[in-house]
Amino acid sequence: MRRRELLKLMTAVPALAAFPRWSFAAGDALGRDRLIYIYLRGGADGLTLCPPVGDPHYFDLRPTLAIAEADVLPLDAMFGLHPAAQGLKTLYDEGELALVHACGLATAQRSHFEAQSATEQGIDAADPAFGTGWVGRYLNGIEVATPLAVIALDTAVPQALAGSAAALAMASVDDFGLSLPSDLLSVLGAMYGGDETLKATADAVFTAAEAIGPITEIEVGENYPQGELGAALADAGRLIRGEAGLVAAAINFGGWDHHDSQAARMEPLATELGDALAAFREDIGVEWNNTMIVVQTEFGRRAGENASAGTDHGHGGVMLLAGGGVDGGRVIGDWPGLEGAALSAGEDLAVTTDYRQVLAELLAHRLGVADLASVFGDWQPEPWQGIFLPRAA
Amino acid sequence: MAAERLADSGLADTEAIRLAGRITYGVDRVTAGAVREMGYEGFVEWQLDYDRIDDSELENALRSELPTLSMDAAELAEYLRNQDQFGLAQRELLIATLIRRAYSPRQLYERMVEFWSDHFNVPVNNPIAAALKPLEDREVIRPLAMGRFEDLLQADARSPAMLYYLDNFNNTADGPNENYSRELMELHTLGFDGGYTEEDVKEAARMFTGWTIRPPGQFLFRPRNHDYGEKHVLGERFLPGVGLREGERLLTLLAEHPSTALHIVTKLARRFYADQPDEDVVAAVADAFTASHGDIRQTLRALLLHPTVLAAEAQKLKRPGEFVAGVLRGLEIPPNENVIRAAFSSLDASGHLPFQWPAPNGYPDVRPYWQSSTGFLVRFNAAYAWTRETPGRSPLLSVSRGFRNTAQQVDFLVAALIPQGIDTKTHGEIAAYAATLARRDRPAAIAALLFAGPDNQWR
Repeated sequence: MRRRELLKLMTAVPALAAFPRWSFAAGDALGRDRLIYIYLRGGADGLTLCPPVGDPHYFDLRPTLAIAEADVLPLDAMFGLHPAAQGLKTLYDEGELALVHACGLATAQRSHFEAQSATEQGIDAADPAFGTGWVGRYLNGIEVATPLAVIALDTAVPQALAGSAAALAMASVDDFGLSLPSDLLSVLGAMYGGDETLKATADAVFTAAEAIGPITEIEVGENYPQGELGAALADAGRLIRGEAGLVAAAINFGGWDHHDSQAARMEPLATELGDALAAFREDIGVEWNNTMIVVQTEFGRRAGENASAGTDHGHGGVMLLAGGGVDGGRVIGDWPGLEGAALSAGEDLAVTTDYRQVLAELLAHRLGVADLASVFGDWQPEPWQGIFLPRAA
Repeated sequence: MAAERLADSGLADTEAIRLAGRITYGVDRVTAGAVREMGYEGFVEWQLDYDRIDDSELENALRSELPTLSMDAAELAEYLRNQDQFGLAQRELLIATLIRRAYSPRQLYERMVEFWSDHFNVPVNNPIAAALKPLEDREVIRPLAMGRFEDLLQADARSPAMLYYLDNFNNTADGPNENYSRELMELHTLGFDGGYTEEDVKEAARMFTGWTIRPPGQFLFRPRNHDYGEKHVLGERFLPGVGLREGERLLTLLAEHPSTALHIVTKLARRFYADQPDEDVVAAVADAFTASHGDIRQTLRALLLHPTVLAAEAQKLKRPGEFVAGVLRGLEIPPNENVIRAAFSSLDASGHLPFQWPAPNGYPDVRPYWQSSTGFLVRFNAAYAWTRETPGRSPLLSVSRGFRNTAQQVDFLVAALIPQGIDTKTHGEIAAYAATLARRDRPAAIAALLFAGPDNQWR
C-alpha cells in the first residue's frame, strides 16, 4: 500500500520520478567556454590592484597609498601588480591573464548599488533598466539542459543571472543535501505543484540535491586559499572535474570598499584573488582551456587618497580576464593618465574602455553568441580589440 | 473612521489572522486568540502601543542569561578585554535578537527593530563593530524604533557603530571622508533618486567633519577637526563658523525632505505588504509621515490599515529570518540552547544571520533575492528536522496527538499553522500520506509538510 501510494505520488513529481541520468557535457563539448563570473563587491581600487607606476601623477595622488615601483610585480613599462598578487603574476607571465585598465561604466556612477545593478544588467548607468542580467540573457539564448549548469556559488542568485530560469544558488556543494525521506518529498513536490511562483524553485531543489550527490564524492582541489573566493572556486573545480555540465557560475567576493586603512585591507584580498585563481587553474587541468574567468567590480576608486589612508568612490577601474582562451600577458586599454585635466569629474580615473566592450568580445569570441543584440539590445561595441583568442572549432 | 470601515468590511477571523501574520513573526495559537478577540485593527493598535505590552519576563530572562546586554560602553570594553573574547557581545546580541523575534509579545515592535537594523545596517564583521553594535542596538535602534524618524536619524548619526562603519570617525576638515554622507542621502534619507548631487555628498561630508568616537564607545564632537567654512547642500546655504549644529540642521532638513518621506514609506510598504507597493498607498502614507513629522506609529497605522493594503493578497515571500522565527512560534517550543543553535545554523546557511549583511543597504527585501534554491533547501530541511526532533517539547504537536482521525489531525494543525487554510487537494494528499505512517509519527510529518509547503512561505 505504502509503495503504491508512493509510486502514485511520484508521477506528480516528474523530476523525482525517474532520477534521470544526465548526459554530462564537458566544456569542450559545449562548443563554448564555461563562464566563471567573479564580482568584487565594494568597488575594488584598480590603482592598487594594478598600479600605474609609470605615471608620475600616481605618486602625487597617493602619497601614502602608492605602491613603490620597486615593490610591484612588474607587468610592463606603465603597470605592475599588487605585490601580494603573485598568483595573478604567474598567470600573466604565462599569457593567461589580461587586465583591462581604465575600464568600467561609461557614465560615472558612484553608488555601489546602482553601479552593481547597471554592470550586472549589462547596461550603462544612464540607460533604462533591463531588469534581467547580462549572463541571464546570454544563457537564455543557449540550451542549458543539465540541472547543475548554472550556479551562483552563494546563498542567493545575483542580478547578473536574473532571467535565467536554470540558475541555482548553492552556498556549498557539501551542504546541498536534503534530509527529508523521499516519500515526504513526493508529497511536498505535489504541494508545490499548486504554486506557480515557487514550483520551479522547489523542483530545482529536488533535482539539484539529487544531481549533486556524485559531486560531493569528489575531493576538494589542492592549494585553495581560505576564504570566500577560495571556497567557491574549489566547489566550481569539483563541478567541472565531476563533469556536471557547468555552463556558468557566479561568485561574489566581497570586502573591497576601502574608505580607510586601504593598504592593510587590500593585501589579504589581493593574495586570495591571485592564489585562488592559480589554484583553480591547477585544479581543473585541461578544462582551463574551456573556461573563462571574468573578474569585475562596480567602480574604481577616487584617484586621490583620503585622509583615512583610504579612497572614496570613483569611476574607472580594472577588469581581469583569465583562462586558456584569453590573449593575455597584456594590460589592455588606452591609459588616460592621472593628470588633473584627464581625470573623470576632475578627480577619478577616466573610463576609456566600456566594460561592455570586454563582455561583447567574450560573448562573440568565446561564448558563441552571434547576435549581441540578444544580450545588449541597441548598444553596439567598438571594433574588436582582440582581447580573446578565437575558439577552436 | 478606520474602525467604522473595518467594522463594515467585517474582516473574517481567518482574514484578520492572515493579516496579523504580516506584521508579526508568525501567528501562534495565543496570538490567533488575541486577534480573534480584538479584531485586526484592535490587534494593530495593541501592537503599536508596544510599551504597554508586558515583555518583562522575557527581557529579565535575557538580561540575566546574557550579561553584555546591559553593559555600558566602558563596562563592555572592560568585560570583552578580560574575557579575551571579542565575539562575546556579538554572540549575545544575536541570541537575544533570535529569541526576541520568536518569543516577544511585542511582535510588531520587533519587526520594526529588524526594519531599522536593515535600514541603518551595520555589519558585525570585526572586533570593533562587535563591541559597538550592541550599544547601537540597545541605545538607538530599540528605544527609537517606534518613535520619530528624525530622532532615530539624529541618534544614529552619533552612534559609534555607524560612525565607525561608515568611516565618519575619520572625517576631518583636512581630509573629508564622504562614505557616511553618501549613504546618509542615498540609503538613510532621500533615496538614490531623491534629488541630491555629487556636490551635495561632498558638502555634506564637510558638515560632519569632527563627528567622531570617544573610546570606548561614545559620541564626540572634536571642534579642531571640524570644517567651519560655508557650505551649500540641497540648495540651502550653511553659514560659516557653525560647529556641531550644522550637521544636526542638515539631518533635520533631510528628515523633513519630501523625498525622505517617499523613500522611508516605500521601504515600510515593501516590508509589510508588497515588493512593489501601489503608488497611491505610498502617497497616502507619505502624507501621514509628513503630517506627523515622521512619527513612526502614525505612519505604520496609516499603512497597515490602508484599504488597499488590507485587501492585498499574501504576496511577500517570507525572508529566512521570518520563516525560522515562524516555525519556532508555530511549534510553541520554549527557547533553549538546541533551538537557538538550530535557528542560527539555518539562518547562517540561508545567508540571513542578523547583522551580517556586508553592505550599508541592509538585507534585500524582495522575493527574487530570497527565492533561492539554497534558501528553500534550508527551509525544507529545517521544517523536517525541527518537527521530528521536537514532538515531545512542542505543545502544539502534543495536543495534535490527541486526535485519532488523521483528517482531524490535519485540520487541527492546518488551523494552527496555516490559518488561511489550504486547498482540499493538498489537504487530501497530506492526510493520505499521514495515514501511511505509524500513528506516533503523524503529527511531526504533517507539521513538516505544512511548514515546508508553499502556503507557509508567503505572508
